Amino acid sequence: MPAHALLPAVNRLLQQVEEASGLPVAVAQQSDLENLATLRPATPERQAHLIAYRDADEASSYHVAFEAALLLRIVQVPAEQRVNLNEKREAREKVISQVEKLVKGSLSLALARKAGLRFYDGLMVQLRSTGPGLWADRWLFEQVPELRGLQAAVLQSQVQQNVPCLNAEVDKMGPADVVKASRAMNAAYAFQTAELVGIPPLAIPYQAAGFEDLARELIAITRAEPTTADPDREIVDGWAEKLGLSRWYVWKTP
Amino acid sequence: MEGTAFTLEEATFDASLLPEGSRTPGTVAFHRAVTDYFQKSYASMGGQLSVVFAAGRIEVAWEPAAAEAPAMAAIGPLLQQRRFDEARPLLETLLQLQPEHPEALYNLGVLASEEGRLEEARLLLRRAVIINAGDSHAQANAQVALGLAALRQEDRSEARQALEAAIDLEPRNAFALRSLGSLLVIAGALAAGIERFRQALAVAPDDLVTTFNLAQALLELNHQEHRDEADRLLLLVIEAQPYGELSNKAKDLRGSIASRDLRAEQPEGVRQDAVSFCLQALQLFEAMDQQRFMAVLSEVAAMGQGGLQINEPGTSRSLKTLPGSWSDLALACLIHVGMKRLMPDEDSGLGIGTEYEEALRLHGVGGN
Repeated sequence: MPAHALLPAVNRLLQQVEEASGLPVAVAQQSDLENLATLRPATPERQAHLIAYRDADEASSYHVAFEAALLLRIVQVPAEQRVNLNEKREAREKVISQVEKLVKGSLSLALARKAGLRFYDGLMVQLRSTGPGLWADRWLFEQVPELRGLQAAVLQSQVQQNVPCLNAEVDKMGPADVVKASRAMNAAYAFQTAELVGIPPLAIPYQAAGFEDLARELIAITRAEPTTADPDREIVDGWAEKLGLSRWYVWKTP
Repeated sequence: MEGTAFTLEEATFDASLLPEGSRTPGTVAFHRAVTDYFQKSYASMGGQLSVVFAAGRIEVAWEPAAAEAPAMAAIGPLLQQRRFDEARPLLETLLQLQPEHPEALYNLGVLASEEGRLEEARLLLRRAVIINAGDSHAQANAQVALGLAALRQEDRSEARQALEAAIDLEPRNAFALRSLGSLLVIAGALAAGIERFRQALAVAPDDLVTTFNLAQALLELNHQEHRDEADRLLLLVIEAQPYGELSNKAKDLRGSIASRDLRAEQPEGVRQDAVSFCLQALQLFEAMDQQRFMAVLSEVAAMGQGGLQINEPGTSRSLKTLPGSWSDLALACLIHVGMKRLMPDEDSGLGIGTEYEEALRLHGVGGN
């Protein structure tokens, strides 16, 4: 028996993406997904965009809308200018060696290397996704007000899940610059959420930890008028500069 | 807002937030100023705040106030926003204070049912049915929820009893009609289920789940007799809700209709038109490199998702990746041949297997 349908506002948004890109969007529920939702833009080999979401619940309407908002930006970048964020070997190795030093004696070298790799990869994913994600959350708040109830629940829950990153134990496990950059990005997320849902205390932990100014600078970057054809790349580069991560990655054509 | 807890090193606290003279970590003045800061920050939220200083760290925990007697006016919006984790403790408190509170019984029963605690759900909802005796709308809703919980626990007897009682109370309760329809279909009473679905649609014509259920039941009852109506209903679902689980199911069902259509005219023999289209597809794909082949296949597959009218000779579509115009049967053959090329052991489900084999044989003969 069919139990779940996307909200009408989300269907309208998906149609908007199809019109803008000239290609169909397939939406599928995939219960083994690691994240709440993922996006795979069309490629020359696969002439359809794919949005997958994990949970067959009402909140998935927001997750699909969020991916659709990101997709709407991506398809507006001319195909020949589209690039992917790739690792930079020196930066990755530096993080790994820092972690190896931090956990020396308590973890084997192989495990320490694996942990270091996770820190580096995790930070790059966070850098690639959080800034454009902030843009998408705000865009949806303004353009699709029907979703605000769901949005408030999803964003608050995410902020609450992030708060433990401030705990002092985290400092012992990860390199200081990785931990600081990650916290700053979470702070930006918390400050924007506090503003969108009208609950200032959501950002208090980050204010107390001294991240308010940096968070507001990061938010400002997501709201600046784009000056190139690839606004997401501008946001990521802007954030990387503020966070001292400009030399940690390279952009490459797919 | 849910409760929150976190720990900061005293040394990492942003001292600029504190008055001058109280910015040195570890001092009494610092501890007092930090406590003041958090108290002011969370003051607007009420609740309970705890700030503890230990081993150079600040441990902060804030919990929302325990509701004395939360009003449904405050809980309703939480339920509407599906913020169940916040609504549940408020409802439980309300029920402890007022054990016969009709809305608390009903909403907690529905939550328990949604979360799979079905015994608990049925107990709560039976109480809700009794307590709501003076309010036929609320009682009908409680009966529907009880019916669904019973259905989830495969107790068809209580489910049917509750849903019929709901319809007696509210003959135009579309959700009750739909649920009873589904129950009857599950029990094999297809005609009776269809009748309930039609009644539900008469009340709520835009209900796509009912529309889909009706189409499915019609096909199950008599595919040949109800094919056209079912196909029209499925198309309505796809047009109104082009994405997501429901439309995917509708598209799959239309695919199965198309597959049966193909065999309808010549149940035993081979359709020569399909053989020709398959042969044409084999030749086309053979001449393409992999990238172009994938581009064509993904376009026709996406088009096929919307459903194909295989026996409609008048259908004509154009593709971005191939010149000319294409009938739906030709597109179905492109999909089948393309899928076979990609995954030889899989079947497209379009019912073109025999024609494809014949085309493959002819293609081999031509090629040799």
